[in-house]
Amino acid sequence: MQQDGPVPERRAIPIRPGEMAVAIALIAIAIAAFLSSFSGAGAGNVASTDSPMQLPRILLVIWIVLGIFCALYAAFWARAAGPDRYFVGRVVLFGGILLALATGILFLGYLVPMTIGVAALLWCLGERQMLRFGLTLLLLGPGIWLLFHHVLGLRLPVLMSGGLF
Amino acid sequence: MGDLATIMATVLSFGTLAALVFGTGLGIVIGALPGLGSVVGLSICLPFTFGMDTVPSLTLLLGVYCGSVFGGSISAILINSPGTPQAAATTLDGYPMAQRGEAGLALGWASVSSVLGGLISCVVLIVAAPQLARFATSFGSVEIFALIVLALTCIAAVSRGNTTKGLLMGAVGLSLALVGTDPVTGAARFTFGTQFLSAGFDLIAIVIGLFALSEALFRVATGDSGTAEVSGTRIRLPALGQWKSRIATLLRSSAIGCVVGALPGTGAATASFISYASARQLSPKGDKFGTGEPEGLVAAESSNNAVTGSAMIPTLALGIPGDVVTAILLSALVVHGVTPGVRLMSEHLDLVNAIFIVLILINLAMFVLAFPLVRVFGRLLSIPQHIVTAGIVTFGIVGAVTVRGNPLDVLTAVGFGFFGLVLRLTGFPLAPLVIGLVLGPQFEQNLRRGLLLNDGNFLAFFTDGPIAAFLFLCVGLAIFGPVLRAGFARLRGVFA
Amino acid sequence: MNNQLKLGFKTALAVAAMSAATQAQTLEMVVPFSAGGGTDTVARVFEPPFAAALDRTVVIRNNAGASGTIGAAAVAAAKADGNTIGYLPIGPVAIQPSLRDTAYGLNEFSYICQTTSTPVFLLQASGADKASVQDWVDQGGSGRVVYGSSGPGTIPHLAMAAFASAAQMNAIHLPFDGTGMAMNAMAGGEIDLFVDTATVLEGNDVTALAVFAAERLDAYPDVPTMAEAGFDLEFSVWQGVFGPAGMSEEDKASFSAACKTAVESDAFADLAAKTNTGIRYQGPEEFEAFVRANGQMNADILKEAGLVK
Repeated sequence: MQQDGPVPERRAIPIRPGEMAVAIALIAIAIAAFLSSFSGAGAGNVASTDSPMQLPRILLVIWIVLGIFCALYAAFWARAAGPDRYFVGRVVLFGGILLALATGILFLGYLVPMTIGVAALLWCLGERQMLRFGLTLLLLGPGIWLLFHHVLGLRLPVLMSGGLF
Repeated sequence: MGDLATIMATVLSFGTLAALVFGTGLGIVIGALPGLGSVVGLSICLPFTFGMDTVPSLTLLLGVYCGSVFGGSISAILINSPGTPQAAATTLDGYPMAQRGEAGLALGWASVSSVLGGLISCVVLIVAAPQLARFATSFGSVEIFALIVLALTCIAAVSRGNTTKGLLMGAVGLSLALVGTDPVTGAARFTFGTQFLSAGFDLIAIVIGLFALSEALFRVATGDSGTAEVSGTRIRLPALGQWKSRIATLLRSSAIGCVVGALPGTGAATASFISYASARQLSPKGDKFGTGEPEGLVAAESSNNAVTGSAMIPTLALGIPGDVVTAILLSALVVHGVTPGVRLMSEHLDLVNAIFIVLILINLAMFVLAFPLVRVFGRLLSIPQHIVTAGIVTFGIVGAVTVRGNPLDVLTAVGFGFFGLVLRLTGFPLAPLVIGLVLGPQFEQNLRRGLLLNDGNFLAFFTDGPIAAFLFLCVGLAIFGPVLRAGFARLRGVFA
Repeated sequence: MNNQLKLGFKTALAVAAMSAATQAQTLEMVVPFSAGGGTDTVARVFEPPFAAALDRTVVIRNNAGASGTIGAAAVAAAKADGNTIGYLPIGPVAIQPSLRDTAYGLNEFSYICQTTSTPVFLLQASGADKASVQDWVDQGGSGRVVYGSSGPGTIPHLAMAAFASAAQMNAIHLPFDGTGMAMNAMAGGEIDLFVDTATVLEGNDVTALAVFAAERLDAYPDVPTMAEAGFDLEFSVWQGVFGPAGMSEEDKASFSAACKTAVESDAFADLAAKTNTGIRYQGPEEFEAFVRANGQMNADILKEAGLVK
């Protein structure tokens, strides 16, 4: 990799820590999957000539090799990326709400978690204007639900079987 | 065609025309909403068609299908999340154009290419359906495998900057596609004993997560609205002179779409990736691909819309549905008392002709409807950006939960939303991951069927027949083409 | 802001509590395949007369995935309050549980009624140079026979596997993603044989060599049975209505009565004629006995064909 810009005085190693961490995490996942491919393929059945795990193993090896290249690249050969500023707190909160929302839908049906979730998301996104908050919530929460569940007949998860929502 | 008048009378009835306009418009809207795609659109409309006449109900379904394939490009261009997996290749050049402030122009390129691609495939369907259907049946497992490998070579084409990262993402995508029940033996793979994973990951749920939800998260993380400069967009048609150098790409991509669409089990996403890669390789502007080059848009959009017409080829000529969409269309035929099959074209010629005319009209209606609908979307995007973000999340979740009716798919989508955010922040490209996912199942199934047929001898693939040989040659050229070209240039330098 | 959130949460809880009181008594019928599939099409025609007979709103929920086992599992896991039933075909009920780890078995269902039973045919491409079952048996003895299926553990697969092992043929199984792709492969000459219903026979460029039924069918008097060819094999695909185990007897009785009305309705007969589907009603007891016997038979075939341990 040639260096285009002025060479920085001191090159920190790894050069792109985030990218290297992702590559290493991916390698770890692939290794775990590779190992798990040997410990019984579930309640599989005897395949006559053809092994179901052959192709996945080949792909996982390719994955691991490419991952190592990416990790080394990010550690030693990459050009340092400019410093980026992220709203870490806000994105963690936003992600947490999303996760809670998805889990909620599993147990409480669609409407209730979605309405609460959209309210929380809007609040997290900084919406403080009461009228706009209410209208958006009404439209994206119960509005969309009504449209899909009742008007279009695409069933969304319900809170209790046979219930209205 | 003596009774052209009667056919026109059925097609030009009020019911059919209403279904045409409504279906196409609905399709564009559904396609453009991140998370909702062709299948959801058709599932919505299917129950309503039971009470309708045959021609209007088919018109409605075809309109939704064609419209949704085009509609996916609107959100791909404006908010960097393809509305449907078919439009994943459209983001590559569409969003950079929008970032440059040329969103209207990008939409113009996309809509004209879509309509032309769609019309070209209609012509091919009308003129050569029986022949192409026969040709499609000569694609066995080995041939389709070769085609899928050719499509995989475009991973290198879409991973700008760092090919290794792109290839890694491609390997991850292919591997993810293998999770679930083994298609050959039925054995469980990487399911960890769970019922949910035995069904495998759903492509649409992952695409929703990787693109729509991670886009929402990315906006929150960077505080960047992303769409500020495209609000209030209206379509701007590219000048005729601009087309001159790009007409070859349009024709080639449409041809690729026509052929790929006629094959079983492939589809619009595959076609758009193959034609994007080949356009990048063959076009003089190839090295600008990925930076907002209109030709990339032309390649992606003309080919994925060309699939809409040619997907009807095996469906109408042989009664063989190539994908979920055509299967739904066939079931609508069955409900209306028309037995699809090899005799469809001889026994129900008037119906088939009506479908031809309807398809052409749908493409024209799509062009007309694109203008007001894009304006509406542009307006929608000019509302405060955080509300747009909340909307992306809502539709993403609705899309994930309705795709197979499993609420766990929402969790999948959210998980891949986080993964997508991390990948975006650390500069890993997302498109190769989707390419791997889209092509993975067919890659594996055709590979293993080919191996079963050839007693496990992979080398026999290369001597399987002229089509396979030709496709493998294309694969070789796609991989080694740039090296060879550089070599030739050097040789010429030596002898000059 | 906190107050606002609390208020919202309280309202939501109150509304949730109210929903118990405002039960709409909608009956959800799970179809374990996506909209537009073969099972879905029949279910959607079955639904209107069924709902009319019950005098209730019935909505279809498509819960697709993993050869229908996801939807079947959703039925088995549902509350047995008479608000969730499933329209399930043979595959997820009587085959898949012996093929893989499903979250349910035959004991996790209430058996309401059977709706259809359609025998399957042994099919070859129209242009094939063979004229009888015996020709293929000979070919399988000396060379090899390639047969397709719409996936591992489907009836096309099972019937062919049973046939191949009974005839001691050297047979290769090529699974496809559904019948459509297999038919494409058959038209291209990649597979020699396929097993499926009359719908597939009518819709494609194929001819029937034999039918997997006890007697010749009225609609196809020229097609011999497998028994005539020397192989005593019977296979049919069936569909029926199921509920979760523990459903009350009243619910079961009213559902099966409504089911009988729906199965005998004109709309259903009409669809059956169009799709060559065989109508067959069986009440709860007979249906349960039938499904259990069928499941056992399929498990035995799978074992014999070396498909499960």
